[in-house]
Amino acid sequence: MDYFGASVAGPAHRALRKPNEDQWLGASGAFGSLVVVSDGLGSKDRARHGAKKACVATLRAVRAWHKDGTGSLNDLVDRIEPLWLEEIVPFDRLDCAATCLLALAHHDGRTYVAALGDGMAAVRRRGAIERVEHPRASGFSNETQSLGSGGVWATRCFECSEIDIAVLASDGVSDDLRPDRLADFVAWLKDEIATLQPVARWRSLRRELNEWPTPRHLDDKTIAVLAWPNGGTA
Amino acid sequence: MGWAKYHEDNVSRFWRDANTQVRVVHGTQDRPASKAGAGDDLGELKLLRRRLAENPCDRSAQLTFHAEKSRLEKLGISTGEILGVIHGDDRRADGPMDIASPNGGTSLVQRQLQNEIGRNAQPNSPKALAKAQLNKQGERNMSKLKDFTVSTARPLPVIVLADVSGSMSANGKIDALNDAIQSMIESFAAEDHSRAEIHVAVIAFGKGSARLHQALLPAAQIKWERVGAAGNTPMGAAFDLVVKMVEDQAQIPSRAYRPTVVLVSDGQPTDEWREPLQRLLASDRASKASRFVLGIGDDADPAMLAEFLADPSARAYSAHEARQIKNFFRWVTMSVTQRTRSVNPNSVVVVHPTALDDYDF
Repeated sequence: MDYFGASVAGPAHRALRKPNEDQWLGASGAFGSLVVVSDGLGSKDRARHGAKKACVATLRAVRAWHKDGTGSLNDLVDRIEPLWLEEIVPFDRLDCAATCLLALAHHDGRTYVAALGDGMAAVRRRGAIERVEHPRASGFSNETQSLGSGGVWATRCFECSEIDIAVLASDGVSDDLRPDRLADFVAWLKDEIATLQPVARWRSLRRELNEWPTPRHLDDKTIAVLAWPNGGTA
Repeated sequence: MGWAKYHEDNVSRFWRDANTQVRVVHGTQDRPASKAGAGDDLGELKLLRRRLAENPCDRSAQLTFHAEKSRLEKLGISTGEILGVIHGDDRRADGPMDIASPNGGTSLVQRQLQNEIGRNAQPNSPKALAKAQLNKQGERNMSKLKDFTVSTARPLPVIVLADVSGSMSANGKIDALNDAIQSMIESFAAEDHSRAEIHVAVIAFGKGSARLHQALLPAAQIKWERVGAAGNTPMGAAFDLVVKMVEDQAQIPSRAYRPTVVLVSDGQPTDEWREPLQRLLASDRASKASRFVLGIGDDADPAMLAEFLADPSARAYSAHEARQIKNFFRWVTMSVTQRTRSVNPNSVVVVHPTALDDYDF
């Protein structure tokens, strides 16, 4: 089991000399391996703080959930927002609103994927791409559900033996991906990026995100990946 | 953990910036042009691009860069080709300079890079060479994303609901409307600093029905065909048509910015309009559109137009002369272009019509 990711500030934030409001986290432990991607809502004052704390709260929730005996996936996601509210103190939840995507390869042989808000949470299962997130509720870019402003998690559970890669991406990436080339994009991550040495992989991914080819793109961009080097064995 | 990654991100930013600076320091005067025939013209642009990379606030370089770009475009070289050559050469052809630079330079930037590797690392040390090897390994995997991403900017749709009933033929109103829409489309097409690609559609209602006179297309691709005036005012049918268009994700994808809907009418609707308007205001996507309204003449129904706006703070404007129609569209154009230039084109940019030098509607 391997995980990696990268995050870069988009041209809009670079122009304003503002920091990246996307965050990602990768961690492994007794629970297995976890990647999280969070996108702070750009219109909020503490978006970066909210996104950072979303990653931390998710890790805490996973640890506690594992320690308590690994209940249902809904039990896991229900733990995240209270911990996030605890983490963002002293700031207001509406100022810290952030999306949250997670993929957890658990030692019980299952991979848990959950998504709240925009972005992409996808796995390759038996060669086919399956997406987990809800369709964008409002129908236009930069409008989303999030921690702090309510919303419904999209959740799915997979057998690790059936999947070989899980990909999380913020909306700055997922909105510009061609739906008909999504399988190729995931294959590129698995076959060409995941196979690099860690430093080269990280540099390569960052470079790709910094030189994003879509014209006039604005958003921060983040990708985090869980990859099984030899197919689906956790 | 996240903090370690965050630190790594910052280090990486330093590396990227430092690499850029190294390229600037050493220059690339002897680099061959990427496009045959365009090399000489593009050379000046590349130099300007590098000046801007060194100092993005260099106003003189900014102005000269845009003037030079416009000149090349007039020569028939496409914007895509120009930018492709600039970015292709500067960012990709050579790749980032290896840390173990063969010329053994001792510029400040290189010293910083060496410090980044380790205090005792020398340009040809195994550690530096390993780093350079990693650079090259990463380089080989570049550029695939182009194949997987859309090649167009996010669209910002502008939909005009134009009253083309018979009464619009009086007092030159239909001519003024045609001129104003044409002028708006041309302004959008010429918009250089936009962060979105402005698409325009025109729904004409008159002659017993509402029809899509101009399909939703990027403004730069539209050749405006003038519309004639005849018949009654089936505004309800126009509302249904705009809902159908905005809700259709094949026409307006989810990556699009919120659309702008502009309603221009000189009379009372002649069909059932209340239910279609309610459908519009209740629809998931169409209800989020920014809305502008212009009532022309005394026959326009201000109460109905206000209902279309559905926002007590918004105002339905009125025009009594043909030139006021043009001014209204100038204001709409200004508001939309301000939105597309803003950091978040989804945000509502309030441009008061008094910003026009001859505001009179």
